[in-house]
Amino acid sequence: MGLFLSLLLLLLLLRFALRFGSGVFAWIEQRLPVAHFLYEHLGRYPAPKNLNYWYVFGALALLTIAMQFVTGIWLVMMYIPTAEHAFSSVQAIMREVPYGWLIRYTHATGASLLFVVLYLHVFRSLLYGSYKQPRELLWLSGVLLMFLMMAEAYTGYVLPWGQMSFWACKVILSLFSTIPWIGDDLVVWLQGDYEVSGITLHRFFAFHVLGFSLIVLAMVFLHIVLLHVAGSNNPEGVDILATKDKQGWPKDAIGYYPYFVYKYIPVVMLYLLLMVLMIFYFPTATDFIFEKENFRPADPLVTPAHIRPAWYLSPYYAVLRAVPDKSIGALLMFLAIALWAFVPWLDYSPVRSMRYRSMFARISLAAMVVAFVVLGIFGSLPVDSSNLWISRVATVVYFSYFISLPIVSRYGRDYPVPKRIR
Amino acid sequence: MIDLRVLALSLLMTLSLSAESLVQLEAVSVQPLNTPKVLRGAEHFKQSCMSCHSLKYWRYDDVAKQAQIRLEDMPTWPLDSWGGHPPPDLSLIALEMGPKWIYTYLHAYVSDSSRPTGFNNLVYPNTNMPNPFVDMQGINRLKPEYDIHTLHLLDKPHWYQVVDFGRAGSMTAQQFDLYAEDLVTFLTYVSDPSIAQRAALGPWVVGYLLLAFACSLWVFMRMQKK
Repeated sequence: MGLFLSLLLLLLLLRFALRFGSGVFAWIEQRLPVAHFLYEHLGRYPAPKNLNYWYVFGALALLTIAMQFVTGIWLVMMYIPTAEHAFSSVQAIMREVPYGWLIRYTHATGASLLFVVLYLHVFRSLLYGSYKQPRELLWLSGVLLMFLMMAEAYTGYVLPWGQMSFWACKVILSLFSTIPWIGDDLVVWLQGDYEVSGITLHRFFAFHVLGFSLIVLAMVFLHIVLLHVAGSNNPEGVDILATKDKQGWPKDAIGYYPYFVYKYIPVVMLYLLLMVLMIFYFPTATDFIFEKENFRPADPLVTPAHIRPAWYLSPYYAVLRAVPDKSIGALLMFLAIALWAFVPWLDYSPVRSMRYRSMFARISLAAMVVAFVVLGIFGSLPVDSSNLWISRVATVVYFSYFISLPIVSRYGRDYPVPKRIR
Repeated sequence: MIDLRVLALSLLMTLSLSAESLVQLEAVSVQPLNTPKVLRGAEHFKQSCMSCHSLKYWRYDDVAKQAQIRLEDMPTWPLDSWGGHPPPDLSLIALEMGPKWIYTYLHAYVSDSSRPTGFNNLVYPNTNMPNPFVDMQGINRLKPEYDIHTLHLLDKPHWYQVVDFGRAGSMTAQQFDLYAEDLVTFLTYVSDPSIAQRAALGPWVVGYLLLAFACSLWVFMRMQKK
């Protein structure tokens, strides 16, 4: 109630300020056209009129990244990036800082939910062929962002300096040692010490809060610029820019604001509701967000029985373990993400949306998704011979998506795409 | 459908593999929001645990005040004391091992003359911790047909299935269950005291977002009609 009253008051005040300050606003607008910019990129952004709820995940990702920045800044105020104090400073945040638990739980839950959102966002692109001409660079910037997010998540995961932080850090760094010739030197260079130590922690802190996050910011900006140059794809995969009215406005488009803004706000509220429910009632998410082992301070002398990565990295970890040779495993693990960059050039079909793609194309996408989920599940389990074989089969299915893409897209019989959105 | 089953299976497997206990972990009702119970647990902690274990991340809050626990009275051990294995700090033990593990651990002491303390534990075999509950729970011993070294071959029995209840202590079994339950409740509270604040604030935030969802949906539906 109080919140609503204050919100109402704020709106009234804003109106008041706008009326009396219109001269000032006009003066600023003339020199810095913010309102014009917003109008151009929201009100006059031609959004295909058939955008469905799959198109909300980009906005949700943007919102979550903004939340990560805000909560992250407040965490940095209290966190101490040294091997001696990292663990206890996190506990101080949880217990002494007013609402410190809220800030930290939001940051950790936000990181996990961001990957849920990102994976669904990528799936949307595959479903409606959003990576195809003329959006190849948009897609490439997205693949790069996915890499950056993983680097950001990995460096951030190390910071609490619990057992799992330490050992996951060690395992992932050891992957670089499989690079021929320079591997071992590279690992020492990356960790800044002959072993993973407080020095490693300190530089991961630097990468997490400054290095990667600045590049993420720049790439997100570029991603949006590229989107606004090429325009949104749509569930039909119809090129809406091909049919324009006399004013040059695409006939099948409406402004993003107000219709889609109002359409997606309820979804944003549901998303925040999910996040709040997790933060307030289920913060550890039974080992999925806060692993049990990570409540024990890092101990270089005690190896946990079962080291596993965070759930959003476990598909790639499963690929690594499925291959008996460590160097080839590490290479395949890298390719499991990097191959996505080539998808626009592996897919020859001009038809974008799966609604008009051949049965083979649909099946191969579905098989890839199932393989990815299976890899995710088995990557988080301890290895034994039966689940190792399941991971191997899933790895083959996953990579056969990329191998079969040129064949499926060339020989599969796609359906004719309509010229206009019905 | 298959995915769901695989998921359920994987969850089961991770749960069962998280502890190397010889016996099944018993269910326990943890109520960290039940203040009298938390306070009782705090009293028990002061009585049974605090001579060796610290809670170094705990802060002086209402529970500490009411239970009259002075945090500076908690022990601090040099790293080389107790043969290099000083009693661990218990601030986060409930999050690390889980309430079920602690609850069963506290029950599962059996006398074992081969151990320096005279006791072994079925949940955490070869523990260095002496049995603190000899006077309360009494002394239990493994049934003669079982051997602690081959117990892992069995399919995780309940601890009470494999022990003979020997000399009774000052408490009945029910009293001791409650005693352990209070302790676990207290340790769960200490591992994340934000739970009280979360429970107080949660309904408001959830209610606010539900309202915001309903309002925004209503606005959108009205807009769609036009």
